[in-house]
Amino acid sequence: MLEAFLFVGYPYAALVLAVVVGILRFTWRPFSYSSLSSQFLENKQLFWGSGLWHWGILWVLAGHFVAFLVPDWILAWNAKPLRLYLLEASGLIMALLALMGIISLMVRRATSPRVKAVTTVMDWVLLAFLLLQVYTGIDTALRYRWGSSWYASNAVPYLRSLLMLSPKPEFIRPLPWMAKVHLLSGLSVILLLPFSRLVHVLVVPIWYYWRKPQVVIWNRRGLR
Amino acid sequence: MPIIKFGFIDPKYIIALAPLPGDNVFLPSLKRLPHGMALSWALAISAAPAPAQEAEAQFKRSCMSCHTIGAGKKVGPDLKDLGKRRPHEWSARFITNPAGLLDGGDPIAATLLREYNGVRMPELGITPPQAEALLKYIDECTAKGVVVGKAREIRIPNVQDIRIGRELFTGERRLKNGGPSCLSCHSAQGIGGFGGGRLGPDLTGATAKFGPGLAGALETPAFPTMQGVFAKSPLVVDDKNGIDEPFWIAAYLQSLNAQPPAKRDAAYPVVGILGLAAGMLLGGRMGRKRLRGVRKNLKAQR
Repeated sequence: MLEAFLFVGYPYAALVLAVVVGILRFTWRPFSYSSLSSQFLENKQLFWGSGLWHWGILWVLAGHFVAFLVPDWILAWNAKPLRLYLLEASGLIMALLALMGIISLMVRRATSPRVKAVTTVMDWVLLAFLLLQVYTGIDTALRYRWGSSWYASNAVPYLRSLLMLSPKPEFIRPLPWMAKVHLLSGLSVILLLPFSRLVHVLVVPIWYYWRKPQVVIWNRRGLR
Repeated sequence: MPIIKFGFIDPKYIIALAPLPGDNVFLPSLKRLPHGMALSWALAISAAPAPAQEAEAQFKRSCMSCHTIGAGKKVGPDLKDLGKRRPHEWSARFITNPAGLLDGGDPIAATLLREYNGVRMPELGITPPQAEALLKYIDECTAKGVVVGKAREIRIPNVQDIRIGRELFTGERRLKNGGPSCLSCHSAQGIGGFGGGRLGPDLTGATAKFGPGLAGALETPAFPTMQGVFAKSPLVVDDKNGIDEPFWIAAYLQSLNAQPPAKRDAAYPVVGILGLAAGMLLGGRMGRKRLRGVRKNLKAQR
């Protein structure tokens, strides 16, 4: 019963809410689709926090995503132990960078008075879940090696069964509880997506990379 | 096994919302549903395969890696005549909750554990009705003289077998059906690099524990974590082409028998921390010029 709730009911609830609320928010409050940047308020710590966090987490996420799409490729890649070690080591390094990043972002939000002034409870909830997510991921990677292989062979079939609408929680039943907490906190992050500033992942302005440069003048008094 | 598995949706509500046969419109109408029809719909929704077939499939899935019916001992006892040896009530309790009896000081369970090298029957998540069906199936096979499974003939592995087994273990030789290599989750003495996986146990001493039945157990592994994976991509035994993956892997593990388990060093986390430091240095270097805007350069050009 608990299993059905946590690993069948909750994933669907999280996904459906994320999509529905995400669309509603986009139609009702399009300008709230933003990371609500606090770069103007504090930029020094942000460089470390945001930089490490985004570099780390985007690679780790990409790894999870590729293994979800083509688990057989991951297993084939991992067939040579050296390649497995390479993948696992890069994954761990990226995850540790993300961990440093998220901790630094949390310290910044707690200590910088200007950033503190614009911080909401939801920001803290989101940060807490992201920290939990990264921590449980690293813990699983260290204690229950080699996750890249058994994620592809055990967890991906479960995740796919969810998307195929015939959930098979039995695939992940024997996994250690730490991995299950990782899964649940990941689902919670998806659930929080439309309710928090995390929505910015859906509207990343990647076109900045190829648009023409613009000079932004912040303050006329500074110019002579 | 009902098809609707949502924890919070009772199948009867699904029935209530389904259109009735002959209805022109979609009309939620439990009241108009004749009682008998509701029952038959409920049965249709949760239709299970015939119990006998289900029990046979379950036996193959969960039991056959370690047991035969009438073909001799494997990792565990031959289950022929089980109904005559022990009351069904005891067997059902053991099948549904092996740890309860093994740890609870049950004298029969303790004797069995000693007799079979301390190999514990794993928790297979079998429900009481499934256990009943299994026991009935075993009784039927016993009565009809049907033999299920086969105990492997004992073969002495040669150097070649052991080498292939090691390659299969580490993954250098892919398993024919594409399953993940043993190294994904298991370690063993003598694996280089960061060592083997740690999701499952170190297999260095596996042969001492499982005895000659190890190869048989690998054919259809009933270990909970492996079951789902290797049901889809089982190890290949193909006598015609001389392929016997379970035997090769067992041969490799047997060759490690007298050795101590693999050492667990900290190389992997250390590489992680070094990588973290390198990443931060690189990040700091790349971001050195971040506080110098483009404006300065543009002004210089003027």
